[in-house]
Amino acid sequence: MSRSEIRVGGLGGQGVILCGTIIGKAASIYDHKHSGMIQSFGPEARGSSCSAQVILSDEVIGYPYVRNLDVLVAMSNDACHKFLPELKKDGVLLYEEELVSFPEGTRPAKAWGIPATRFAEELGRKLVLNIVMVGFFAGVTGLVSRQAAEAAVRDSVPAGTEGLNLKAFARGYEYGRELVGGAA
Amino acid sequence: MKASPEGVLTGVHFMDGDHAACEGAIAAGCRFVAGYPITPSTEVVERFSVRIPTVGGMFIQMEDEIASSIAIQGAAWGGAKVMTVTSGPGLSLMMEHIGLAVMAEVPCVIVDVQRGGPSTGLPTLPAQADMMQVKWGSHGDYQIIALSPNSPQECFDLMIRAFNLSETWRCPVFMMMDEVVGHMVERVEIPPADQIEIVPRRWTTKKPSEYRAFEPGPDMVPDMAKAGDGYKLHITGLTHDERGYPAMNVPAQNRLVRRLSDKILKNRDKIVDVREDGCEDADIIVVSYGITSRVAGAAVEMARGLGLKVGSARMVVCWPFPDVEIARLSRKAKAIVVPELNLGQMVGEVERAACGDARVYLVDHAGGSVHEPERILETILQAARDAGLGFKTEAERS
Amino acid sequence: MESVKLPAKFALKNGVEVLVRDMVRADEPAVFEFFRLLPLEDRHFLRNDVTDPIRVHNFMIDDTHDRVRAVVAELDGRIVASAEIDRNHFGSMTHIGQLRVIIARELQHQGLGTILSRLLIADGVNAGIEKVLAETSTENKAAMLALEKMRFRKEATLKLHVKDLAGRKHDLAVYSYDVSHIWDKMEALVADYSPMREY
Ligand SMILES: CC(C)(COP(=O)(O)OP(=O)(O)OC[C@H]1O[C@@H](n2cnc3c(N)ncnc32)[C@H](O)[C@@H]1OP(=O)(O)O)[C@@H](O)C(=O)NCCC(=O)NCCS
Repeated sequence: MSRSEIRVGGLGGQGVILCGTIIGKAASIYDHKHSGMIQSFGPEARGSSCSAQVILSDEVIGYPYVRNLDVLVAMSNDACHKFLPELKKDGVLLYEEELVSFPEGTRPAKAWGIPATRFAEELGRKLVLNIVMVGFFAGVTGLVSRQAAEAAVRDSVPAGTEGLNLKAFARGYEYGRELVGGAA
Repeated sequence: MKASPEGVLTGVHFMDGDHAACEGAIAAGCRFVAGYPITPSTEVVERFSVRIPTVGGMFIQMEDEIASSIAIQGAAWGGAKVMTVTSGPGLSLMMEHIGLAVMAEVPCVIVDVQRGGPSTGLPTLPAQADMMQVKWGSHGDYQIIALSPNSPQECFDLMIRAFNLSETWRCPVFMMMDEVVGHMVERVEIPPADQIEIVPRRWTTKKPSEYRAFEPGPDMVPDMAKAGDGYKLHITGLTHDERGYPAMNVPAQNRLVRRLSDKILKNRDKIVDVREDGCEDADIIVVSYGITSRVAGAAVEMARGLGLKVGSARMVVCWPFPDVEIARLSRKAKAIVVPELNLGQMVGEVERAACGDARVYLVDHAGGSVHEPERILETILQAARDAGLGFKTEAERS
Repeated sequence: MESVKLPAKFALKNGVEVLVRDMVRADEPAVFEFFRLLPLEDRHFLRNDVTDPIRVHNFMIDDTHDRVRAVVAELDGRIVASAEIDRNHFGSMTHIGQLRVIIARELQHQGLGTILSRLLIADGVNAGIEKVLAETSTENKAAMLALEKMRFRKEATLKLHVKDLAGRKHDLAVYSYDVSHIWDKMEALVADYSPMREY
């Protein structure tokens, strides 16, 4: 059985949950897999650390939480270092390169950075940083198809913002594909 | 009767159980909710408050749960399909009026998105520790119906069943969700309205002069009349006769209270729903409900991988308790394992039904998370050892 | 508001079908011709003397990032309308878009101005613009009505600000269309406070 466990972490307000939701939605609605998303939140979540757990699977998902983390998507330094210990040995770390730093020699082997916030600002709105990350996730890991992810972005964001959000997705996706050496 | 297409969000969605439950209620025809928002159930009413004006219904945020649980009963007598939504602390406040809904036979759905207790406990974390409270929380003898969804999809599907059951049997029906099912986001498919079967309110066909508000039909349930339609209605929490007038004597009490219980218990075959998987030749059967049934599924798979014959039986309806089904299973199996997110509630019912035929093991949990599948597996293995069943070790397997 | 894929054909109210496409450098002679044929009254309120080829050339090569998009409408190989939306690329007004539309006389009041404006506003939103501005002399009733129909609101009037051909002064009306509500929803979506909703 193929099961992939993903955690998206960052600060409340960065669109952490939306990022996790779009990944889950892409897999379950458009790639026809099973997926479940659970957010960790407390009443105090705004502005504080927050995260979403996403499970993708070929079969019905029994245990709904992360147990053996395959991919960590980190949008803040805190979230990165909080959840890094959870990442399995050969797990993949995707991080916001300008917000996350590693003390000497602690950067995991399979770690890919992206200046997602800067990209989002260049595109016109910092708000779409989480969509840049969705693109980056799809581009680097291939766990959701580009088509599925784009369809999920399109129907998850408010009417009127699809254009910019799809550009943000493409930016992250292509950057990711280039980093791992695939054709964009 | 088919659902009204108005308000049915036909299509494939990626939504959490709270939102799906709200959509289920709207599709079932619920047009009135009174509630006092409480974590982890807030999203149900939050969504309802936004969605319902578009289909011509109403949401009232009440001053508290006591008021919510009585406002819905007024609306039900006014003709609406009704619901209130809460979590443990709110449910505790509703108990008095739940008794009234039982006594006055008010069709209503009460959603309990369970969180850790007692008291305010763990607002944002799951438990299944209100299972006995919904059955026994109000005073007196009575029966209610309780459903236990294990996914957002079932939050939608069972919500429709909950409304249908409440209309059919005229009693409070509980949706026993939990924080995980409520907040977990998954694929939810909402069928077209013409594929959703809806039970309409049982309006009387009698003339006002012939109508007696609490005269039971052949299924032991009386038909309703809408307040304001010219029928004389007297609705009371006091023991009443078939006209609804107080009759505080032993025969009236015996007749009424027995009927209120019997209309559920004697019709239980039309209500219970146990989903069995691999129970035919199982030595050990895991009996579970709600979110725990998903985790149990993972444990059952592991145990089967070790060569054990393990079946799983999921109680989709927890009340009325499926005692006949559990008794049958326990005659065939050597052991029954019951994982639940409490320190032992439904397990007592399982023991009662098993009647010593199979040994019953509890896998408890104080709440705040779900079981690790390994913990359930451990108990399955313990049960296997106690029953003298052989199985491979994890090492032999790999 | 997804960007309209161009080129695209649009049927106008009088049944004429025009081709709307992005403006390209090679359009310079045709654009010049379009501007040259505009009646003096319509040309008068433009920023540049568009009968001067150098000015038109400068307009054409204005492909700095300030221009979000410029489009033209074509009929029988002729350019019959030009429209653009610009923004500041730096500073406190990067979220403001400036809309400019001009339609050939014979095709005015056929819905083309509205089509081009809508299309450019969608592009603006997709580029992160929150508020679109358009200016017109209060003498230009057609422009004012067209803007109001598109839900622009008159936000300011500069008193006796512009002169018409006869030297008479008129007010300049500054119209705005606030599209920030579209992004407010996105803001709520990324709040991470409560589970996602999709009502
Ligand atoms: C102003 C202008 C851009 C409008 O474009 P247009 O394609 O002519 O306008 P539309 O057909 O889309 O009309 C939209 C509304 O504007 C009003 N309108 C347009 N032309 C009008 C006219 N000649 N008289 C009165 N109202 C008129 C109408 O209310 C119309 O709605 P309707 O068709 O339901 O009656 C165009 O007339 C033009 O290029 N004028 C000269 C240049 C200019 O003034 N530019 C304005 C600077 S932003």
